[in-house]
Amino acid sequence: MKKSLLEIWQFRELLGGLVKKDIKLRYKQTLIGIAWAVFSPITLTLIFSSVFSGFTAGKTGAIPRYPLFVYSGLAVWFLFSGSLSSAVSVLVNNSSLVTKVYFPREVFPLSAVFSKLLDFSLALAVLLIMLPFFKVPLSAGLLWIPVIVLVQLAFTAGLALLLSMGNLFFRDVKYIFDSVITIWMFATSVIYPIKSVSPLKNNLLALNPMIPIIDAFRGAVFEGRLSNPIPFMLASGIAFITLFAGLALFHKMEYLFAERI
Amino acid sequence: MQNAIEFIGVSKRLIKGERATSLRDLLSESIGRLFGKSRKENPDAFWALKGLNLQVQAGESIGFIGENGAGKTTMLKLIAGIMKPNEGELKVSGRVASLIELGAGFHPDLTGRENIYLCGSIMGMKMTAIKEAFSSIVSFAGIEEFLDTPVKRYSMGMFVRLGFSIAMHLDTDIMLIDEVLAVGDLNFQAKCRDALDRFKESGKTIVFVSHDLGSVLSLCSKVVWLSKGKIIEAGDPQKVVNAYISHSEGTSESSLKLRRDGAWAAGYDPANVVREPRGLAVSPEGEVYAASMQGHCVAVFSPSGKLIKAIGTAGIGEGKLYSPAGVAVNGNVVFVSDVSGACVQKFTREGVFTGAFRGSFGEPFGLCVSGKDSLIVTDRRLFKVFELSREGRMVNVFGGKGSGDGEFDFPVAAAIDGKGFLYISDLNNHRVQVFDPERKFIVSFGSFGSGDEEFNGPHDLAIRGNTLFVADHLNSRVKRYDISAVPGKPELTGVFGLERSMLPCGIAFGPGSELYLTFGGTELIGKYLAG
Repeated sequence: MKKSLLEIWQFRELLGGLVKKDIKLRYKQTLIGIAWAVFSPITLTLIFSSVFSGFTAGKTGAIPRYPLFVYSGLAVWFLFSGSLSSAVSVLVNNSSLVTKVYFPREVFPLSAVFSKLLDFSLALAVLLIMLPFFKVPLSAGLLWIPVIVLVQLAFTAGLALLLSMGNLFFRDVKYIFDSVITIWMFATSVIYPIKSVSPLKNNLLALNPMIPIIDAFRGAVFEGRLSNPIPFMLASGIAFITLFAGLALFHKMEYLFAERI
Repeated sequence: MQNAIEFIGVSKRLIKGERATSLRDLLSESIGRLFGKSRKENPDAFWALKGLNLQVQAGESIGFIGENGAGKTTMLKLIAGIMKPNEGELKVSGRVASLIELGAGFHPDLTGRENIYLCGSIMGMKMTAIKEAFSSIVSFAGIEEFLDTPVKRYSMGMFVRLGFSIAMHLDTDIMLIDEVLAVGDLNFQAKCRDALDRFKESGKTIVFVSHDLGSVLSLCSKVVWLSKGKIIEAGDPQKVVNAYISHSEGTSESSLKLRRDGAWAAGYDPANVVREPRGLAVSPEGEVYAASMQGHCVAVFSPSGKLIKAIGTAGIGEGKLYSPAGVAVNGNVVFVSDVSGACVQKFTREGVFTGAFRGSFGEPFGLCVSGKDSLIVTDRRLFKVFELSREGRMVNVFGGKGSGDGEFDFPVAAAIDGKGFLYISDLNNHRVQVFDPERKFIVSFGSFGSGDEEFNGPHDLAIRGNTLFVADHLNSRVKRYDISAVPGKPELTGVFGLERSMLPCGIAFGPGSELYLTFGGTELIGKYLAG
């Protein structure tokens, strides 16, 4: 484990290079370039706001500042789902490198995760610009955001390692992932607060670290504090366990990649 | 001496064909095991390497030869750490760089500049090291003008040159090279070889896998012959290569065969006179004249294959040869074209220098004497064909760079038939062009490919009567045409397959029906009998 971390550290420049390449290629030859990064959260926010405003307005339990609520949820969720969906096939897509050149293969799924950070930063900047229009004050609580994002990155990176490796051995993984990630979004408080619909209480959903992560993010933005410290701590625990499990398993199986791909 | 690489009983099992990578197979297998069925052996599995024991000392350059599927590439992948052995132990000390596939790390949409940084770091270079080596990488590859062009718009040659150039700038202890030297044009190949020589001199370990026996011989101090995952023979390069050649001749697959004359099994000589022989000429008495590019002379052999003498001494100037490529014998005169000396020189058959034609040559390469007593010289740098009188007066010049009729891209050989028609092999256009006695273009044949009617770098030509032989360099074949229909199209009458690793360059008829061949990058001259 220590050796594998050391090796990844030695190849950090490569990791940086791959992230840069990903970003460059994603918006190369597009008309509006990097603006695509905020295009879909904004569009979806407009759609969800207009659809849901009909039956949330005026009722009890209506969500205040719903557009902000949806937008912040989507921004965080897209960082998660976008990273994973490019990570799941990243090893298979780079099979010529995997079978021909030696370097720690971890850099592939990790670069898939890190390269989505730029999109997220832009989405975050737009969110901060939106705040005054919804009369939300900017507070010191926003400083929680880096911590929350770090926890989310750990969780995402762990899953990215496992998924990319899983898909290398069994191509079914990608298809399973595609369905699961959609269901997962609806089992997370992205477009509605999860408590308002869950009949299962919180038992099963407590295992979903994305709920406390998104809730914590919203707390930091809207209330200027870490609103749910205990669930968030639990989520952090799950996130780092996932990361270490991912790294350990990946390192253990790495030498089989070239012949099984 | 310290061992750089040590194989101790290393075995590696691989699986042929498509791998079963669906969850269904995994599930059915685990359910089967649950019910006590023993795990069944995968019928597609085979041992790519079996019980390999080998030591490679630091600073040694070791070559691996053997037919496809012998386990050479698997072995490189084990050394590189891409795979792990199933059995045995493999110790590697030092940093390893693998040149297994050039340009594998390139992304087509990124520019040359961006790819240098990306590919360099994939190969393990530090950013500062890449910055330092950057201009050297670019100039070695010769892509200065195309630095900011996406590599998807590069020609294959540029792509490969850039890949090789990056690899040559890696700071590493062990370099793994798999079949990469037969790339690019001849100039670049020479550059690559120089770079590898320097690499070798700096005390680094080279592991070289190639079908090009000539490169193996010139680069390696030890050669290992692998077959079906096992070592057949290891040790002295010349000995192992000879054993391999005589073995593979017996297993050649072509329908038509050229039989190697035993006495001419190898023209290799310890005096290093024959290094990279190109052009060939045979006197009516059966003496063989071979222009030795790297031996800086024309080596002369008796009909039985004994080295008699060397014409010319190394250098540039009168009577000196630097890289002689073409040779023609006419009466008592031996004409030699010297690529680097940019001239054609005349010697007597005894080896006395009698004159030089300088003209306005760039890189004179191919050479033949026409019936009209004139001399035809192909110039591979000016893409032109010159016709000179015996006194050296320019009679006619034609050609120019291009791929149209009468244009050339690397004209490397000329031959003239009894009716005065001139045949020029146009290497990079992968065709042979035919000109009438007035040197007007009539017909061309061949295109790029590996089919019977196709060429991959056609080299020298030899004509006797109505028979034309073409050395199809990178296809490892010699092709026979009937040219009685010329000015109509010549008709293909035979394809002679050689061992895959033998890349024929020069070709000439002996006084009988025998055929002499030289091979790219080797020290070999072969004498063949058709049938």
